[in-house]
Amino acid sequence: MTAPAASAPSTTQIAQVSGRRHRGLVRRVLDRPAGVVSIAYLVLLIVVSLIGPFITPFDPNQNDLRGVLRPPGLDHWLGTDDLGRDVLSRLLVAGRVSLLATAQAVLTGLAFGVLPGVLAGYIGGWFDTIVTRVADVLLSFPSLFLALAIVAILGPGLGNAMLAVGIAYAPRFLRIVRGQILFVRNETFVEAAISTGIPRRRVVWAHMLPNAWPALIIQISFMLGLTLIIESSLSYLGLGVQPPNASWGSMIGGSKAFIEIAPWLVLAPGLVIFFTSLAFNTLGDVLRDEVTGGRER
Amino acid sequence: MTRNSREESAAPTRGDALLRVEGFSLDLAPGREYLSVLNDIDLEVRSGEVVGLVGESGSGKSTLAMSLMGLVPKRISRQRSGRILFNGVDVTALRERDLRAIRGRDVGMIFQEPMTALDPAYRVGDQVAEVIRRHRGVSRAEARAQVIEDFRLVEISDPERRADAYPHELSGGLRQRVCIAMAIACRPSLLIADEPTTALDVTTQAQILELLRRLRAEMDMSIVLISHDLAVIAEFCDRVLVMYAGQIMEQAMIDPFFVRPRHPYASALLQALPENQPPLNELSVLPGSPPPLGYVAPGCRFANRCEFAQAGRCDTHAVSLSPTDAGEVRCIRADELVLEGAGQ
Repeated sequence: MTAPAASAPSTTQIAQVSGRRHRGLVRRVLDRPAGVVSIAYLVLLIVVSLIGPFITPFDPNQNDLRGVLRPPGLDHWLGTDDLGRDVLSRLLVAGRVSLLATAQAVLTGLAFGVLPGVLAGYIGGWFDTIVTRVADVLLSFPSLFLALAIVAILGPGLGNAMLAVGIAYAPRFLRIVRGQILFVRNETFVEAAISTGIPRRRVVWAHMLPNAWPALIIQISFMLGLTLIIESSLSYLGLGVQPPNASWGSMIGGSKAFIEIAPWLVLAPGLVIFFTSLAFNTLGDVLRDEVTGGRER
Repeated sequence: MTRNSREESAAPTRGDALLRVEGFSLDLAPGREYLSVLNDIDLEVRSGEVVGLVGESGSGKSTLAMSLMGLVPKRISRQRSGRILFNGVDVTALRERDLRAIRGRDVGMIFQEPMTALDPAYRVGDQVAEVIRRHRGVSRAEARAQVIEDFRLVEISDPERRADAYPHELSGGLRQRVCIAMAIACRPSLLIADEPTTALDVTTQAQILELLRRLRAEMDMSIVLISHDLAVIAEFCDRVLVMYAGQIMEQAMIDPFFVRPRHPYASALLQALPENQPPLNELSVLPGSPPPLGYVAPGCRFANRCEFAQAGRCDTHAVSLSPTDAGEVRCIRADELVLEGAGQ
């Protein structure tokens, strides 16, 4: 009778200690200054991009040839470009284009990468060999180069470009998922789950894949940063978004002739690209630290 | 009418046997070539009985346990002969879908490593609930209530909170209790315990064995306990099977086995128990090492390590199991030899 009462306090204490050490990943990331700053910035950016088209002070595609290349001021906070369009308005609208394109590429990569990765890791054998070889071939092309080639074939346009980038990314996701599946495939819990009568297919999706998520999330974060740069590069070259629409990259591309007389035209989108890419990469770093536990307190 | 149906239900189970393995041989291909891993295994587990399976590492104990549930991947295995009858149904002939219905519901399994036997990505209560929901088709809330009840049954204190813990938040002993709760969640008639206490410290070992003993009595389960610890077997089992190089060397009731083993290998194992040796002497060990996987000898597989082996007799033809007063033995000299058991 007394034994459970005596043991109760000590077990409670243990649970509290371990509870503190193993909080959720999101909480741990938010506890780090770098994590909270990058997440706050990205959330703000996404919100602004969603409502961007409704809060623009001017019509982003409205020319005003009497007010071209105005420097930043009270009227036009970030100035106007060579056609007199409000830079802030264009930046807000372009953000949505850039972020959507980035997300599209990464989702395409996941769609083409995760399933083959899971199957290659789980089935193994000749299937694994073939899938891995194909992935290696794709991986040997630089993403930007592959995207350029595909755009050259399919014609310019952001959708094509991002599809191409996404396909180029698939091998990276594939390798991560395959590696994680291989890692957990022979774990006892997989065998234990099968031994309780859970179908193998469900064991793969519900017990093996979730253990690949942490590694995948880190990679997604880095890839978002990288894609943003690639999208900007393609649009800068005029192969991405087509005028009169804008993405951050095409805004820089369209203004490069005026860089000496109107540097704000390049600076504004350039800084946004820089900070956004930085935020994705910082978040990736923080996630990696917290997931792998590499950073000691 | 009644007689007919009774006969029908009784016929396939052949009396009391819950599990019967008949002449089961299995090859595994860990690399490119098939190796004989299990050879002519015969065993029987009656309902409510606890059968111990001992043997050195690599003797085929775990492969046999996995075969009982059809868990050996078909891709790398080849069954050469025999059948495994569970409740009269040949497990080796079942399709995966029918095997799934048996696994977890009629046969539960506990693994050696409680540290890795639970999925780190889920709360332990949810993992147990998944098994209950799959086999019983009950609601989430009912499954949860059942989990809490099962956690109480396996003596987990504060079950409501423990059910919400992740595996890494629990100690080894607690995790093994969770694994046991998962294995018995559907009240199986057979529990296969593959070295359930090996990874635990001695105090926890005793508690887990005590728990298994209690559950077996309360739930009238049969248990197949795999261990290389004869002390655990002696304490816990009704009957023991000694495996060596993929064969069953001796099968006997527990008490006669310890007093008078019939196979030289069994005797050597008992001799090697530290408890049976004079204090402060060097521990006696069984010379040689177990044969590699897939070892096949023309005669007795143990002959090259056996101190009683006779050239020309033991190493010429394969030895079959012959009956003894307490079970069966695979040794042609069994009747001539008087072997030492576990002293006292």
